[in-house]
Amino acid sequence: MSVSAILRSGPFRADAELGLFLGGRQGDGAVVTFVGLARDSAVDGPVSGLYLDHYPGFTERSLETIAADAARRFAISDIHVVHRCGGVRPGEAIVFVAVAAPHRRAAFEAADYLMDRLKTEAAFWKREDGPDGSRWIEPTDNDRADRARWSD
Amino acid sequence: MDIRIFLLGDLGARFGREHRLEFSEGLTAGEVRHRLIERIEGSAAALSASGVRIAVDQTVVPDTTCLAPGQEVALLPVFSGG
Repeated sequence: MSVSAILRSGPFRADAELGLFLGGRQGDGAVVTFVGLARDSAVDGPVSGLYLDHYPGFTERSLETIAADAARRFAISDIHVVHRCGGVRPGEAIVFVAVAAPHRRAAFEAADYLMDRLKTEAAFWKREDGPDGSRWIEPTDNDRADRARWSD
Repeated sequence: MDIRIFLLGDLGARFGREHRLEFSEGLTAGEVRHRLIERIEGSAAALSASGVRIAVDQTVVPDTTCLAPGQEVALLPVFSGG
């Protein structure tokens, strides 16, 4: 099993990450991926960019912990997570999650679980910048409810 | 050796990201929080908010944790998630 969770300070290509993840894979019948993109608007209006503050070392460990928990919880083969930090422009990928498994159900569920935890427990502090200034944001009630679905 | 302190997220943007305090015997994580509040005008409400946790050498700890010289302290607001 290979479980990796990587922090990137600049743009990355989700299609390239997927290509590497798929390459040479023969024992798995399913690969599920999720790509989260920065949007150009939010409930409060236009967004010109995001800034994801992070705590070097601590943030990487939070990503690794979430990936390792998913690997333990589901019957999957490999997990690959890439997460941005720093400035992110609309249209750029913030997060890439890929899960490979012998069968599709576990891969779907593990990807869903990974995203619900990343959206609430990854150690980031996110700022939205727009024409009316900047604001620091917290997980929404929806994000917290999604996370609660996986409580043991 | 001084204690090095990082403020993350909006705390760093408002009050400065990096601070230093002189170590003294018996210093706790909570005392670091109080000394920062004394030093930075207008920071009391934000730094003492219940959601703001303290990490020592990158591990979240209770305020009662005793510090050693040279340790790194971080004040962590609620994570926004990714």
